[in-house]
Amino acid sequence: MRPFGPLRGGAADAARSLVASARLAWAIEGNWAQPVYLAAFLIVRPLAFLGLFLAVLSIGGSLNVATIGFVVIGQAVFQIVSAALEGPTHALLDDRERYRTIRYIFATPSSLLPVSIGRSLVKASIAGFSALVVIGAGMLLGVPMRAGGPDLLLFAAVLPLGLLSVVGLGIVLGGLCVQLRNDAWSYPEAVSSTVFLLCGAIFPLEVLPGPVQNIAAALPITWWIEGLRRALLGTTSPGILGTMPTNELLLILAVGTAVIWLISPRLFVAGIDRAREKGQLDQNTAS
Amino acid sequence: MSGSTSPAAVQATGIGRVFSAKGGPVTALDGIDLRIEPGELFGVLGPNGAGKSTLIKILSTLLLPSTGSASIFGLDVVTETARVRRIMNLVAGGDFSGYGLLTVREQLAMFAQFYGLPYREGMAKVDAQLASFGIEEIRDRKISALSTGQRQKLNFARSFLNDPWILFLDEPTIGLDVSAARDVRDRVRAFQAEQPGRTVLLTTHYMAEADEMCDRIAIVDHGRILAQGTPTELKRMVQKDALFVVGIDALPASMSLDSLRALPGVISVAARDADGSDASGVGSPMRRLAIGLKEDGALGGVISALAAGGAHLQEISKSEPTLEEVFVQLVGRGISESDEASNGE
Repeated sequence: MRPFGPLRGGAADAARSLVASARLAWAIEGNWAQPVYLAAFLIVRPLAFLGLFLAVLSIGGSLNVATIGFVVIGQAVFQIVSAALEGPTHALLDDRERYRTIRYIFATPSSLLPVSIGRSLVKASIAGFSALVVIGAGMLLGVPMRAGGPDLLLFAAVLPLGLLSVVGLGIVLGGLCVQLRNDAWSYPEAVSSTVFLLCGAIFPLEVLPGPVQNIAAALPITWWIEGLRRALLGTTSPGILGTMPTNELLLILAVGTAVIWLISPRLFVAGIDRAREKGQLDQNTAS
Repeated sequence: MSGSTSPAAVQATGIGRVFSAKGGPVTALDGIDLRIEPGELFGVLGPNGAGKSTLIKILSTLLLPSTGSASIFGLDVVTETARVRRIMNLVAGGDFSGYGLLTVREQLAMFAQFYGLPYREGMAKVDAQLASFGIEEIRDRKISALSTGQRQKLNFARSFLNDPWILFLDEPTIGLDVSAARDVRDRVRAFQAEQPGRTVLLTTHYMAEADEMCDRIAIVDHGRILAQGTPTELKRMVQKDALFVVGIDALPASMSLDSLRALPGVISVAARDADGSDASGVGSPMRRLAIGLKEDGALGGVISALAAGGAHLQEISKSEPTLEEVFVQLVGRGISESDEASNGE
């Protein structure tokens, strides 16, 4: 039944939507202020947090080059982690509550999934600039980088896997939070902060209680940070993370990422369907 | 495409929707049955809270029905959403949607991608729609700087990008000034005229807009369709007989209202002053007669009788009830009263 007009479809549509939403994300994230203010924000904010942690370490008497290196990589990666975890939720809630465009996007043939992923990837990429700033600050503080330069092969393997895993977790959060009211804005931040404490970003897993260590070990982000430490610093973390051979670490990260992507799109779609069923998909709850 | 084997543009059967609320379940739609043929401009008329927007949300795949089923050109709105979304589009009035940081052209280009248009084809359509709506001069203006009327034109331009087979318009002229509303109505008519079979489902609570634009209208209240038909059919529901107003210089002395009432096919005759009020006194000069007939054809006998008596005919008009009167009879209150009641709830 084709009264008139063509019926298109396929993966090409999803790719187009991803690119279009990425462009939108750049316009939103990159144009909210003058470039100089944006740059200042991307530099000052992560440096302030780094300074805070180093001050705490200093007070505790454990400030040395090794711990600074440990914290610097954890801090750098977490710039990206928090952006990617919060990205899909903020995109969906922005479109529902602020821009009020979600009904028009949802009513297109494009799925909200590539739209959310595109927005999240750009947020994470912009946060990548902050990550570089933190690593640069670490080098200025005397953190020794890997002898002979970064392990680019390992870096190239670990970076996309970790990024994919965290974007996958972000879209699960997006699918959950779109079912909630406007106050769902803060939930991904709460999750992000919890993950920050668990994944070995600022202290070794060994300081965590036993059962919590198991949760931490199940997070791909934990292995992502460890992989990046090895690629950039050439050092390993203390305890279980440090004893894991690099090829096994890569395997764990790859399997974890695959499992996340096996599940997360389904959970995202289920969340959107649930919001549609409840009538909350395009319901502006802020006004 | 309008042959008997073609699917309906909209086929809804027993559509119901119940929302959960703190005070208990709220029924927004209660057993809606609807069939809209391809090429129709169908209006859904009702006060705020009648269920108009809920119906459009279900048909445009934004919301699931609690009961019943619906299809768009034969495609189920629950199970075939991806295909439905390829052939429909949606415009809501007064929602101030849009990405303020994007320019008009950037936003349209983005939606062209979401509609699955290849880049060059999409940009060509964007520029064509900008020209069609006369908003080329604001193509590089940020959305945040647009007026309400410009935003709604942009919204319509977006909705035409995918050449929809069916367009859902939810109160599209709300908040627009007279000129902008007229532009929108003209563009909707042009959209349908460009391609036979294009269908429009319009919700509104502007009676004149529904009367002027719609081929058929459903009047809804409290989630139910109270009546549906062409505007003329609906008006006949409150006025079954034909009513004409005949203007003459004076009633001939040889005639009386009773003699006119005795003519074949005449049901009633009443004198009516220019302001519409009844006049009294037979034989006195009068200007207008309100004549009720069993059918339009009986008018000829009345005119002949008046002419034979020497009366000079000055005007003839057919008097019809307004949609507002139809609405009042069906719903039991005026639409403005209904809106006030809804707002007060």
